[in-house]
Amino acid sequence: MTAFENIALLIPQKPPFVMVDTLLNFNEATVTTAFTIKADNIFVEDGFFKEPGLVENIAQTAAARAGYIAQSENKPVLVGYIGAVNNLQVFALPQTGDKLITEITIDNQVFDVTLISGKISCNGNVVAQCKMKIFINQNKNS
Amino acid sequence: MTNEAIIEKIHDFMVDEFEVEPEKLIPEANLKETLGLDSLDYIDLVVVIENNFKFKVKPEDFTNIATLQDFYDYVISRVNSKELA
Repeated sequence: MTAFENIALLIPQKPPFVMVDTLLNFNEATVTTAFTIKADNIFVEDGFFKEPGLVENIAQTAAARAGYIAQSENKPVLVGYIGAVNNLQVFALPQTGDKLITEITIDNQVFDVTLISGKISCNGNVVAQCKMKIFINQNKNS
Repeated sequence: MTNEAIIEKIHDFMVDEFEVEPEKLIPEANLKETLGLDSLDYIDLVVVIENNFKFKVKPEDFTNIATLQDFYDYVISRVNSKELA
């Protein structure tokens, strides 16, 4: 696939809570997004992109995957919820202007729960990684 | 795989993956109350079962599983039916 620029069509989150810019790559097992940190981002403090923003960036990368699949099947984009975050490791906080490259790998799918591993790189270095359980709400209206 | 081997494998991952104290692993132990497994642990339990015993778990399979003995019986039954297939 080519980069999917209008990622807002793939995820249920709305500004100012959008933490992904571009879907770079998608296949059955992995998804990659890019995100440039702007100074007015709600998770930026003193020029640093804080930990909740990193977690949300990974979660929204997973959401983009679900949204891409939904769109390709002409289905509505469903809302997902972070059920659990495990083994979160933050090695460095990115700064305003940095571009994050985030890759998630699908570890498992159990019922309506997707288990993923996520990794964020910045300037070629891994800055954060974790595992997540993401619940997909199959009811669009709830 | 013998029933004893299945039970031993269950005990191994209860201790290693879910940090259950070995002395609590008795057949009448309740999975939620005694062993302290919460709803998120059940997701991990499904993954561990599928990886270790190579069969798919359905959501309704857990409806009647309350105790460790129920869990042994379920896994043994599924493993045996898979081996017969």
